Amino acid sequence: MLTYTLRRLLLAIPTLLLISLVIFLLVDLAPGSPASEIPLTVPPEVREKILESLSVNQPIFVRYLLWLKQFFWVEPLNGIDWLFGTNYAEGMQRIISYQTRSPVFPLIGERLPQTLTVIGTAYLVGVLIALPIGIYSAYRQYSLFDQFGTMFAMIGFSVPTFFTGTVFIIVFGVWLGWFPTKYDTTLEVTDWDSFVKQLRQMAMPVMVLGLANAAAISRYMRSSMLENMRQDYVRTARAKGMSERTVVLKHVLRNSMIPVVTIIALGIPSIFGGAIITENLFGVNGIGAALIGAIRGNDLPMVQTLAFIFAILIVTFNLIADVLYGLLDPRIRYD
Amino acid sequence: MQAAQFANCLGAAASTCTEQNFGPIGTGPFVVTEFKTNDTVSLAANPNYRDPAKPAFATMTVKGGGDAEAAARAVMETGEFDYAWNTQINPELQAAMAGGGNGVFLNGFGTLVERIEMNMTDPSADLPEGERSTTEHPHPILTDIRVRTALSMAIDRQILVDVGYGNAGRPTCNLVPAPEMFASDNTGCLTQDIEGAKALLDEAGWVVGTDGIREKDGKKLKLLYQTSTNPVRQDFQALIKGWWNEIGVEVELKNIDASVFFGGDAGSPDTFQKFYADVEMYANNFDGTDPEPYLAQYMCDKIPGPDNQWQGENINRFCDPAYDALVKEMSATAEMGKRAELAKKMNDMLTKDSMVVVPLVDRGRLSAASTTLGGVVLNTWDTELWNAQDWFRIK
Repeated sequence: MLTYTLRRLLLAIPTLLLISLVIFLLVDLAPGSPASEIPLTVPPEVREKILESLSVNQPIFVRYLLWLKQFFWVEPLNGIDWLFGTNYAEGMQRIISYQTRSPVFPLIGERLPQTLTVIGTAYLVGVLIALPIGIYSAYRQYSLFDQFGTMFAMIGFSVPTFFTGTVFIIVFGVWLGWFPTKYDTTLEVTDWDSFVKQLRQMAMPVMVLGLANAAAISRYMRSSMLENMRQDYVRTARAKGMSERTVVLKHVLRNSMIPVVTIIALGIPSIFGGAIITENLFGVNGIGAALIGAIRGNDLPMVQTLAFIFAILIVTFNLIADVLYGLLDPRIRYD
Repeated sequence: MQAAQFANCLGAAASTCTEQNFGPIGTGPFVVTEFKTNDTVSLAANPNYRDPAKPAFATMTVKGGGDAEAAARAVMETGEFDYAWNTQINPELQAAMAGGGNGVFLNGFGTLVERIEMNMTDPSADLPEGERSTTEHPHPILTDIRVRTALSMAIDRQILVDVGYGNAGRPTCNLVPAPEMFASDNTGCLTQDIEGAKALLDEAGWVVGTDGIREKDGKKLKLLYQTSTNPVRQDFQALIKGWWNEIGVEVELKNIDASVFFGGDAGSPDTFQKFYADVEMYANNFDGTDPEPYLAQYMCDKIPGPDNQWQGENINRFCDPAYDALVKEMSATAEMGKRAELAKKMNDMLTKDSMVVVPLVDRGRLSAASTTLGGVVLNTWDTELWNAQDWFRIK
């Protein structure tokens, strides 16, 4: 298991470098330039100076190697400075976003908590809803509950988030007035009132995303449970006189969870990059919204850094999912 | 702004001064307490403000992102915000939201004019790269003023306004619609005249062929019409194409993503400066104080081309020594009355006299304000928060 993990980690390094190069070339060679964000009323000479100061005009390989150096050397040094109050990275050029003309990593740090809170909670809620639905649908296959569960999954799959989001805003925000339609990113949770406020403003994005997530996971749970309910050991357990509850929730569930846990682990990177539409709709300043804004403005350093971070997350969670599968299922052994 | 704060942040060093950029010290009614890029600005009342009784509000939150509809909804329907600017929504939605009673729409007009520029040079792909859309090859069709006039006459500007902007727009024939002293009395283009357009084209020698498209000397009257990707602009393109088809002009429509169209990338063929099309549509404005630099954009030496990395401002490649002379004269004139006269003359030279610029809509600002917010005066010449110190809550 250990050699397997080490081998995968070593293989990940050239993979990630290749990914970073491909992303860089794609964004750089695409038409469009950061100059489009500068208003037309700015005279051409000043516009040229702005672009010069961002070092937009240097040759492509110089910029790529500079970004590599900044990502792997300057930024970690800055991180150490921030944690320990040292001064190692004094005066070093950091990765600067073209749009905001400020360093990229603090921007990511500013947005990460919102993404984790809102999108992470949505994922958690989705998983928590999906599991019971999946379990009971499989236990009572073809019952009314199962039919409803299937319908719920179909709706969650097929209806896009921008539609459900807008419908929720109109129903819960405008007509009923229960929840705010714009997320207040400056809200600090210090007491019960502000906590309730935070819950209220999170309610709609979490519902929208949770619905979409729950749909997929409930199907996997259901099919995994169905497969296991037919196994011989279930008949044995019942014959031994165990209660239905123990049979289903202790024996069958544990075995069914193996593929579902790996699927959940694989879905975690999507928390970071996948909620672009929802974030834009509700005004949650998360990482997905930052990425789409950066792509629009041809902000190469920001896009490059964010896309690379997503790539790292996906490769890491792929590895975690595979290792987890090996750990949970004693029948699987890697070498 | 405070000179001492930005002393080390001038020129190329500007990108290193994040703290200063995000927390500028100024003399306005509010100070920035927190700045989250592309998201929110949190402000608090300035304790050192010159008027001790103002501002009436202790804090202000500016939230960005989302689209115009969501912003309008937040003021007009849910009441979560007190003011939203640039709520460019279509007229039916404007009426629906205004009926709610939570807020009002304010509109004001400035200098933003949506216009069609006529390419005076040949953008044909048959020409070698570096000669396309340059003064070396005049446009085979559009150099005839009768064709340009006919194209303008076929457009019904009132319909364009009704479809796209409602209260937030008005039809215009002027490149410089405001301030009033510089606005020329130019209303000849406001009535659509399809028959007149057809007659002009007949006169110019363009005869309607068997397929309904005009031709002359074996050449078809075909135009490539480009603009940026934007629903209202695409609506305009469809309408104008319909009218031009009526007078016998074949039109190919093209739209380009705004970040490319306005990106000014010398390597891209789709920028509005390169103008690899026959006509293009976009909007531009100036700061509303004096139109001299704005009108001076159309001088002969400001033509974008390969020698200046396509960075010129004379988009339609208009070149008239008489116009350049007027610009020079204006730069030497101090008396306001005379300046206004010259500005009007230059505006007319570009619009009704030569038809190289075909203005369509004078686009105003549409903003939404809550009925509980008092003291709001819409200002289209500056930021709409210009008098935030006078705002108060209506009890």
